Amino acid sequence: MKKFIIIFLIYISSVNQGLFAQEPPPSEYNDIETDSYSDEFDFGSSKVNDKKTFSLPIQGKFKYEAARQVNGDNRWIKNGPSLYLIYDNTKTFGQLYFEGNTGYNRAYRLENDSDKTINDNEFYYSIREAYYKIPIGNFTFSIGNVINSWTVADILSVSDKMVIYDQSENFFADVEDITSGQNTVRIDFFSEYIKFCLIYVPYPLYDKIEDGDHPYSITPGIELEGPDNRKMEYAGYINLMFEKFQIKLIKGYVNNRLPVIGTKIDGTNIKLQKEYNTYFFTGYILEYAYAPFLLKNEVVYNNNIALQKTEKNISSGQIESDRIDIMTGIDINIGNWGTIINEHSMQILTKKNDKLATNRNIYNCAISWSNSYFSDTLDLIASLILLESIENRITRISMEYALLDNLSFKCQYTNILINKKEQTYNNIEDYDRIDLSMKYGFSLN
Amino acid sequence: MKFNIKYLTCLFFILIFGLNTKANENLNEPIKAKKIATEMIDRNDGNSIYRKVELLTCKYKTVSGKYKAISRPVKKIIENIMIVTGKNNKEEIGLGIIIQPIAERNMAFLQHDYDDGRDSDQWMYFPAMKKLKRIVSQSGNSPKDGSVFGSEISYEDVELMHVADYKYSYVGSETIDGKECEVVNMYTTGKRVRKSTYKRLKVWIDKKSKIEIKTEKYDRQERLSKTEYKKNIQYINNVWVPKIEITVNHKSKRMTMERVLKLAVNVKISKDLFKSRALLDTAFRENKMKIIRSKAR
Repeated sequence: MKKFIIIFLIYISSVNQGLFAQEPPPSEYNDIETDSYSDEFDFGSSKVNDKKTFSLPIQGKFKYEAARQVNGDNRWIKNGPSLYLIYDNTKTFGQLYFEGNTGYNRAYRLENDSDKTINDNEFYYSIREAYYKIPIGNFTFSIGNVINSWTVADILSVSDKMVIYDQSENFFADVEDITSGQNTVRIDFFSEYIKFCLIYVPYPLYDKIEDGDHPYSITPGIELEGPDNRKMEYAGYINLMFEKFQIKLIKGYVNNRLPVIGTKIDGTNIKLQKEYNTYFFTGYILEYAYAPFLLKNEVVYNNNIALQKTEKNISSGQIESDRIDIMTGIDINIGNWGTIINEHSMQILTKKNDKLATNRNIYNCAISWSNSYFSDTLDLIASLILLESIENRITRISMEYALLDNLSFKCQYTNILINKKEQTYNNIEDYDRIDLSMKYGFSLN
Repeated sequence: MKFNIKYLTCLFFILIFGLNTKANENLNEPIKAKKIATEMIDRNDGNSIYRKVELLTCKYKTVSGKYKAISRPVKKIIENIMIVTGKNNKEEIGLGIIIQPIAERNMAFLQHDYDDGRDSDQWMYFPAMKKLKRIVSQSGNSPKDGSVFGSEISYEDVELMHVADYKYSYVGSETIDGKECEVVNMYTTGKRVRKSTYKRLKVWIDKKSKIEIKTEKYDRQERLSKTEYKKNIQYINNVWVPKIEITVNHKSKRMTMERVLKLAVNVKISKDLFKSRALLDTAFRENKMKIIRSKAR
């Protein structure tokens, strides 16, 4: 009996210590598969329809845009619908991709512009990209209309030499609305720390500019001719990637994207024409992350780039000159307060020439703030660009609100103030503008 | 029965031993709490995971104790893969692709979280701009208050936890959602204090799965800031996984539900998918993702 009591007491103490405690082995311990949260939470009805009877790899958006110039001529610039389409079909044999848009702009008809301006701009279409791409091992091969962008800048890029810009919308539209690709044969190689890229453009394109009677014409009332020939382009870069730092070394042979205005004698007539020429460029692009800052720097040396020549204040062809382009910038992440981007760019002539239209070094500065609110349904962006001095400034404020997951509205105001004595930018002085747009996105996938 | 002195002495020591155990339990509460929390922090979440998730965020009000949406939920659908890496498998690399809304479709992001206090590395691909952009995180010396995809989940809420960043106290046991839980208070301490908006976390840890079923997060003024819930917990490929996570932000009166639509755990994922090529080269990425998607349920 005594022994029994002692053993019993020892056993009780041991159980207290948990010496004999055992966890049962984990089993298929599944909660009920249905909405087990619905007793406590009501998120409204939200069903995810994963199975579609009909599916195509197409998405896009319907857009209606209205833009009115509120200074100077006080006129419509845009007024009409457009359709934007993306076809993206990726299979084992590669990727077929198309991105483009088409639309109708009745602003020119509303403003009774010339027949030529109406005919050239009323109905429009553009192909942003259209290519075939296939990855094979560490290589990717692309052929078609491709946007070859490598800049780290967000506003004042000096290195993106092969991207086509719609210069008439440069101050007003988002980057995705004004850039497009070139017909390209491209090879990319990827490895752990190195990437390199080779690009060949057999038939280059140029930035889109307006002439004649267009409200944004760079030669008001005068149609520009040309270019007569196009020289092929090629470029490449090596990208070295480290944990917080990357550097790209770039080199290429390209045409100037913006035309130089020259004269052409046709019988007894003197006509103005767009002139382009090829030049070599070499440079580097680097990026360094040091939270909360992202430091960016681009330096490009342009060898014999075609610059505008003037004689007695008349554009008269090109002068080839060397020029160094530099961009330095910083991105700052301020958490719930948004992101600030500050960039500075300089164009430095290695040799001044009195015949150059812009016979000086050019310095530009841009600062931008952006943030999203209400679960990313409201985006606000404010930016300020200074062209060579604080007296030449472009201020832009935009607000975009997503009323539904696929329906959004955008409102933007652009104000341009130019020093009256400044001849270089006089033509854009009156381009103050209000833009309104509505976008409806859809997907057949 | 005669009790002699030997048996009484044995009885005495046995009783003292038993009582002492109980006393030691009380003195060892922080140790016990730390042990429970360590099991939670170090639990096995798998070496790799694929998830297709739906994020719903909306304003709410409480009606008869129930959180009810009073605004249209903003919906995002995201595909996400993640692997553990680094020394002791304490680091994570994740690739995410936005599927919905349509305006943001094919935006992709890559994030590498380190275990040694280094700032995480993030890259984002913007398909409209054809640009891969490095996203810099907030200063490592302040709380990361930015939100994940506009939801009520902040970057701080998804940061890796470290045992040494907290002091612990044991609260007790409680049953939630039919699960027996140990309740632990975790007080931010040391270097973590200036990096966190939370002074204290009160955590209900499921005894079986070691998952924090419920977490109350208190700010530096000891006000309840957020409550997180994990529900629909399943055991898949030797890993416990919650399929629903809800974050209630008591300050903004908004809540977010993250619901897993498709899932695969401990599935083979190529490390090539966690390099910048996967962001830039859709053809390359899709060829590899198809294999992973086929294994998800």
